[in-house]
Amino acid sequence: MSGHALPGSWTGTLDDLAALANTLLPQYLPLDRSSRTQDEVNPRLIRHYTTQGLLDPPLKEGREARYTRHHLLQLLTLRRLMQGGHSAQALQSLLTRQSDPELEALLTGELRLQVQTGNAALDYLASLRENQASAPPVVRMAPTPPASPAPSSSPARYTRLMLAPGLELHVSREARLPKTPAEQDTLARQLIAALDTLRRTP
Amino acid sequence: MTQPNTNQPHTPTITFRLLKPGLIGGRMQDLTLLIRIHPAPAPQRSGARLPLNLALVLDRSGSMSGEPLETAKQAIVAALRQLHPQDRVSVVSFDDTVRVEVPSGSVRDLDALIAQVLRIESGGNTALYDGWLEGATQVAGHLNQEGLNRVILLSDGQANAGLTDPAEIARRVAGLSERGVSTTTLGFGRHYDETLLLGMATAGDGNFEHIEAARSLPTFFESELQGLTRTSGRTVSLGLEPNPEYSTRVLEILNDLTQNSLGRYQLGNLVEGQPISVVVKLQLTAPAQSSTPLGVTRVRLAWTGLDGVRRKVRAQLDLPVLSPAEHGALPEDTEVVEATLLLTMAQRQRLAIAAMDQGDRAGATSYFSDVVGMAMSVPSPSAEMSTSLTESQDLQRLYEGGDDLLTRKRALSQSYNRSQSKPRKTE
Repeated sequence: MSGHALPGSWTGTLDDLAALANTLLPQYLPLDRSSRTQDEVNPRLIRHYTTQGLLDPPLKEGREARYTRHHLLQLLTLRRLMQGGHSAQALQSLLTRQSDPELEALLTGELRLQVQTGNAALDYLASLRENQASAPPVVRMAPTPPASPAPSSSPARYTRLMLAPGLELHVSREARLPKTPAEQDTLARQLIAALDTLRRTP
Repeated sequence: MTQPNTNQPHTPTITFRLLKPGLIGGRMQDLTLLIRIHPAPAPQRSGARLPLNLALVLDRSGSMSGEPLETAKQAIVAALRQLHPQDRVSVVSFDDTVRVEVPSGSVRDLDALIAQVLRIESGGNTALYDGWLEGATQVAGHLNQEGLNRVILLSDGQANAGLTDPAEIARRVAGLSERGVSTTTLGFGRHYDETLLLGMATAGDGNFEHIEAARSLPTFFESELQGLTRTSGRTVSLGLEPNPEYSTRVLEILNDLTQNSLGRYQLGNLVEGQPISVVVKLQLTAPAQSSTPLGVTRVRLAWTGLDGVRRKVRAQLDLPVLSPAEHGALPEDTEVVEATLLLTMAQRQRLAIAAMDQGDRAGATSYFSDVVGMAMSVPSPSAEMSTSLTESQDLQRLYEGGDDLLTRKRALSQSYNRSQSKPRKTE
């Protein structure tokens, strides 16, 4: 797993930066993705990242933009993190605050992005579900056991919610509220099914 | 040779042992170095271990019907009984559809949980990825930054519904592991996809286990939980930093470990009571004389603590320069000899698997018989070497008997366990 080594110091033009990034990038991306051409960067994309605040602006040398090793590290890290499912939005102005050693650690996976809003793992899984090419899997809740009469020793406390005219929902404090989309779907279906039985009852 | 612990809590200790603890002056030479990492005790909070956040994902495809599914359910029940009230657990089952048997919750009403698990029935195909994804979501929904978050997936079959590409699944598992949820896979029987499950466990920073008999399922669940409760570090990496002053270089590392782009090696979790052994061959040229020991190499160990903080520790190997006569008089460290031999046997097993995959029966047979030969070559074998001998003889017989499916799984599992210094479990 040698690949091309990250240069110790470097400066170059926008074209140089794109070319060098494309040579170095494959070793930092998952193996199965490294051959895909859509993972390559070009000068236009780099300028776009700069205007988005994802990369530091280049230095000026006369009229020409000069990029440094720091820009290279930012660009490689940005591509790696985006590849790993982080959105550009989440990375906004984040990479521009990191030092070179921090960027290198992020690049190799030694360091993980800590500055996340919300729950990174959950966001990531949501992005996996969205990207799923095939139809989403059918997830059902296991059938709940037939209701047994609650022991009458202590009266349970319920909160009443009005859902529609004539339709109330009683929620006990112990009720497990649905969280994942699969759980919510299941509850919705159970509710419809329960109402259906009502309709069939004369 | 023990490096002083930096006295930080939960910092592992690194020790070095050499085949011969000295250098021959004025010569280029090879060194065999055994690096041992002794994990620190797991962190505690108010006298108890940190809470676990688990999803148990169970294959209920048609092939599991009967004894396997019943035993797996019993194993899950046994696992539930080991959890503490502050732990979170969910149970997900999958065939071609995924069912959340028990949504993520704390382990308070154990009897209700158990009743729900016992109701699981077998069904059709194997949507393994979808099952993992739902289990992962159950864990991620309650991600605990100061504890262990893990999906434990048991399967006996090939993924044949939903996403099935092993590389893509492993990539997704790795992405989740980077965000704090790890994955362990348990392969059961002779028909599961060991490449997929091993790939998931490696990408997921968890464990891979090969299980042959239904009756041993509870043992594996139990040891997985025991390991989790004694874990002090995850996403562990080992870096070798040979001293350029003596042209020191790494010739070979005997363990089969995944390397990152900095050349560091990915190790398993730091689990108290489970030292990790890595054997490295180094080459260097020692000066003719030196009154002080030479710094041959440094070793850098990095890990993420259960508080989510990345930490590292370095240790340095110093060796005295000796005359050829003095060096010759040093006895060989039998522990290093044995560790080297065991890892070389594991290497041969991987070569045997590669030969099997190419349809080279003669080649595979000869590698398996090499392994037996190596184990027999030890004059006074340790208990571990004796077990390895028996295992390698069983493997040889299994392959001669034509059971290629099971041979490949067992060989892969044994070689993986050795490289990762996983403790042996007897089935």
